Amino acid sequence: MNEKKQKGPEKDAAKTFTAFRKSRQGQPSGELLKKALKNWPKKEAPKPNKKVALPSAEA
Amino acid sequence: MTATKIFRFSQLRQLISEMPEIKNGLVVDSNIIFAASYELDIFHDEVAEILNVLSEHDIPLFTNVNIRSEFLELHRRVLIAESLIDFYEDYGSEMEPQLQHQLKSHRTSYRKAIEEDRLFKLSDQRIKSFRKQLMEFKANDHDAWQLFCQNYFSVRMAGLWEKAVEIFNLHFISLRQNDKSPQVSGDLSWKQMENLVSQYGIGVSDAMILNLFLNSTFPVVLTADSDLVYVIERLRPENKVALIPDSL
Repeated sequence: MNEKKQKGPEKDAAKTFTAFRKSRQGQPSGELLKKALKNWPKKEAPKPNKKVALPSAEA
Repeated sequence: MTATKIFRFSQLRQLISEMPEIKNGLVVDSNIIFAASYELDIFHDEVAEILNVLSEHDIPLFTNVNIRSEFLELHRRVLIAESLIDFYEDYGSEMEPQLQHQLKSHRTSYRKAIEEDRLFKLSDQRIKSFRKQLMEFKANDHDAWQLFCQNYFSVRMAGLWEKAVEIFNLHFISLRQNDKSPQVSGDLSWKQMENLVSQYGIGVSDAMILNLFLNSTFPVVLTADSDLVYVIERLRPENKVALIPDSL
């Protein structure tokens, strides 16, 4: 249990946090990602729908 | 004691005079911490201002594990959206046409939202769809989704909660048996939480936050969630109120 009085938020906390968040950007990752993107998956040609014979009413 | 259950941010000073025990702290909901941390959230300016008033009065903010996970989830959905745009801008020309088209269209939607001052969050379904497409591209035992996360997303996401704890001075409410916070006054049960869900149709995560608030010594929950407001207005819990943005 905390005996002392706990502190409230810092002044201008929202401004400080958004500035921190906006300062963090990703970096281009170089050759490996470029290599992955060049390695296109081979797309299979769509298969034609098979016609399935429905059971007849007499069956 | 006040009969009003819902106070607006502009009434905070009145609330402090009516409920001086608020100075010991209040429960802050995830949408408030998120709004404070993201400038495009519709409540950002109001929340930034109310936090300054709370700072002036040195009123501490309390959270729990549900609030933490909701906060991180909101950021995940926003930051993946932003990271995908950077990724597209760096590598768009290297991409195969279908992926290029999808990411370009994503960037257009994002820009439109920004122009309209709207928050842009990707749905979990849309994130999974991008992941599925990027996973198809592979190099050296890595797929492009992994590489995207490592290089664009994780730098934005990692350590976000720790920084929020530091800047907003968040205090954690523990429910662990041998480390239970003194502010937890009742025994929280799954049954109580399920009752809140089934009686009012609110989300499970909201019900967990509300259940904690109802079983605590905190008199105030700071929230921008209409589900919590809806239940508090109907339950009218004794000595407890919600403090909400004026524009909600």
